[in-house]
Amino acid sequence: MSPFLAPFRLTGWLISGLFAWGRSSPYKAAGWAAGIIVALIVWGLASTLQTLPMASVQLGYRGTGMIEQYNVAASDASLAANTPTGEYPPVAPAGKPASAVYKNIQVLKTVDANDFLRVMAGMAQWVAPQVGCAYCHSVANMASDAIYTKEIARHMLLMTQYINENWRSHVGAAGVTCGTCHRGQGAPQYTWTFQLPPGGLHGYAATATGENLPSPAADMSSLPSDPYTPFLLNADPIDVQGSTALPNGNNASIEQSNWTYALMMHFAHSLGVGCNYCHNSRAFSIWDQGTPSRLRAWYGIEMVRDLNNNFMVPITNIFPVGRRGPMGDVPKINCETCHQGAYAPYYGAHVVDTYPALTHPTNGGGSTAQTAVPPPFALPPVTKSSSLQPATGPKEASLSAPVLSGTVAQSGGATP
Amino acid sequence: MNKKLLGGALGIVLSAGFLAAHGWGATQVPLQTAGQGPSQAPATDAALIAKGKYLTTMGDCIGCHTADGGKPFAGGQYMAMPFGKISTPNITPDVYTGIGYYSDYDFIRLMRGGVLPDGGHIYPAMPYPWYATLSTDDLLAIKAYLFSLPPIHAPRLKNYVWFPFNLRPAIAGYNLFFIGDRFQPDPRLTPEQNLGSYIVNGLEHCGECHNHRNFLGNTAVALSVLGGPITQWYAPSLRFDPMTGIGRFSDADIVQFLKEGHSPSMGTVAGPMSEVVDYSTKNLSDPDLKAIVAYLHTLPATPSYYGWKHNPTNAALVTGQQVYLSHCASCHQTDGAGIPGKIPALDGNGMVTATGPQSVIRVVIGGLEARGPYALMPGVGASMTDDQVTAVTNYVRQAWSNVAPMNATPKLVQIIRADTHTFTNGQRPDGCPTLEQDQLKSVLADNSNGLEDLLKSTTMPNLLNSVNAIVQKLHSVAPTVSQSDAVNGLTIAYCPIVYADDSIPPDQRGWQLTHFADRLYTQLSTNGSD
Repeated sequence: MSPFLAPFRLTGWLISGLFAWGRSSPYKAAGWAAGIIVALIVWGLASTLQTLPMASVQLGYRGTGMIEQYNVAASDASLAANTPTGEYPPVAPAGKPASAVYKNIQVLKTVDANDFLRVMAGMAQWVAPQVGCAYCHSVANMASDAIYTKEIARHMLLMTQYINENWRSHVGAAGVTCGTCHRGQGAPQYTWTFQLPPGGLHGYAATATGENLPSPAADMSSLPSDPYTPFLLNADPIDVQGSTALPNGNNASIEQSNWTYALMMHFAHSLGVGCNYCHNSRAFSIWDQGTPSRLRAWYGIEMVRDLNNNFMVPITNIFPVGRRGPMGDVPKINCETCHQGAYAPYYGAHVVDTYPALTHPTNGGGSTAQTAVPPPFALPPVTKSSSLQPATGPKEASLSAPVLSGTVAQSGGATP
Repeated sequence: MNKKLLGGALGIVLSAGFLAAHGWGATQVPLQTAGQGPSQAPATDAALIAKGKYLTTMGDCIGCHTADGGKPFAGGQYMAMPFGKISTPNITPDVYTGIGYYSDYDFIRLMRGGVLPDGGHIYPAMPYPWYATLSTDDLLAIKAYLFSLPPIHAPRLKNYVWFPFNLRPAIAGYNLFFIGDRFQPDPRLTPEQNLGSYIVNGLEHCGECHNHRNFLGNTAVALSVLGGPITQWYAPSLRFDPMTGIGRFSDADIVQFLKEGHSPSMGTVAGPMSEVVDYSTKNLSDPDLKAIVAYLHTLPATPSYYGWKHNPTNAALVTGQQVYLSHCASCHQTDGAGIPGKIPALDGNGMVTATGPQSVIRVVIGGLEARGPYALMPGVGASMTDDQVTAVTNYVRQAWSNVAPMNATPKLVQIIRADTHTFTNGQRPDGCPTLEQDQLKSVLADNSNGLEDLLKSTTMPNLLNSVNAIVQKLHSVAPTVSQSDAVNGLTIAYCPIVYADDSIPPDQRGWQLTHFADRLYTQLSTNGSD
């Protein structure tokens, strides 16, 4: 037998041997075949199961299905991964503002000089724990602005202060620091940029909006590949659902619904939750039947749009080409940038408590406080008889505490 | 590598067989001084000894014949070979363990032919194929200097060499092919170029590292100074090709590099070459250094590889660029130009554009000590994954005007990582290194100046204040310590403190050490002016 033909011959012998065995003892062979098929099916199904135990958190009235399910093992891993860093203990004040001690201070002018160093140390931990001060400060001269990262850091400090001062409706008392998004990396891991339009090379069924392809933005569903630009940069309407029983003037298309759906998938993926974390699936669009988290999320959309347009896009030219997207635009914010798979960044840890310098403007230019953004609906009078809300309605008061405070990893059924 | 070793083994065994059949053992080196008898060298002749000392420095004998922390010339250093490790012998004039009983004839026969007084062969780890070119006068001067040293009793350490390489007579077969001839001036070259040729191809034995090695591990006749791998570093090409060699550096810069270990266009020295600079070329006279450069100019400017620019949207290069921007760009700049006189450029850097990626990987993982006005480089790669180090290595070799091959692989990174132990990468198995600078050592040992307490109280939030205080204190108690010695020395002194600090997670202690070194350099070089 030639060495070239040997594998084919041997395979042929094996197959013909199997057939011969099937003819000579048909019941035995059929039994084996059935057994192997059943074993494959069982293994296939069993491999999709999650490891027990599961935990559930009730979000609405009992019996209405308003429940979030959590896999305890996955939640534990996520809790461990979402631990704040850069928490340095307070230091004795120097009694002088930073601008009086150090040169070229532009943003943290009025911060106490020693606390200023603590903020700098925190920033090193949050943004570049490996490279340290040198990530932004030239080794030739600490005060020089030679490195582009320093200029960006100034803008980002202003943004952090702006969020903590003006967007408490979304971030609450927990606040944000650089670490909320950066998590020890120079460029936050989860940002978005404009992508090259999907072309014919991406698949026969793909559309110009990226549908019919697995979309990483929409949790690998076949929805539009870029749900960010219309809603998180521009202000296209998200609400496409009709509010009447019969069609009555709502001309939103299926295409538009797909964009909204993609955005919602991004929310769910970013926060590690299902639809009914915010919506009552009986009536997605009706505000007073959803949970208070929906209002908080609505403020979140407004906040992200505000930050993208007023902080990120204006500093596009400071970024080197390698840090921009393939279309040359600045990396922009979406929900995952901060949330990173948790319903609240760092599971609601109050990260800004020890850093008062990050809660208000410190450049001597006065407050940037703006008029609060009004909610998307008139607040209804909240009474127990007229609402399905379990406790309080979507009032500002309920927003200061996360709906799920503390751990979600408790086993067994939790009570609201 | 296996193939190479197998070929080597085969060659040596075959040539041993050839020699056995033809009566081996006859010395292959005709010596001009044969029969001179016992030493007649005037050991008291100060001029001869001074000349011998200079030549010994040029040959960098001390580099191999001194163990880490051992006595000079007493041997005991293990040399890693592809086929085991060999200890270097004692070359002080001790009669029992050194070379005290060598006659001039014995010494010259050893230096030129690798043959011991008893007729045995030494391994070509000793570069005697290079020294065969030396003149008798120079060899006798070296002997006179070595015999003027105090004898040290230091027995030879055991060699660990695999079969069949431990069959020493086989080396005679090797010698048959690879020992060079006595130096003859080339009439086409100027006297200066001939002097350079005598230095480069003789005592300085540049090609021992900078040549390609052939299958027997030999370098003497291989393509001259076109670059080659050496102990997981890569010695770059010394031809004057502007892209792959040293053609873009001025002669003055090359001389300064050999003299000080750094120069404006070439950055700082790293790896085995830093020992060569410190022990050998630093002490050479300017005419000799210029002669070396003049000789290198006479070699054809052959490229050591054919440069190819890969598509910058290549996924590996895009990943590498992100790693570069996150870990490297703040010092080396996004355009790879570095900071003149402080941070070496990577664009056109000889180590980066060498044929092999080993040196880049070494430096990314292990960092570099401060040298001259240049900063200390932290071992940033210590906390990167193998894939990240691979990506960033290939990126810097392809970025800007560099066109070196993208030949770093995660496997190579893994091998080099296991072998890289420096004080900046926090991976030393033996803990922190000991401080060797005497002046700084005595300053730190003195408890009254408070430097030790300042180091101990240094944390991340007070880093800047603390480093400023340390710099001021150091200037007042030891104003003569050089900037690079202070950066290296204080970082070594801070090392045991930071590794015992329970408030820092163990995997971040190395980072804290580099932040300290980094601030120390900035505040020292700017006198804390900002």
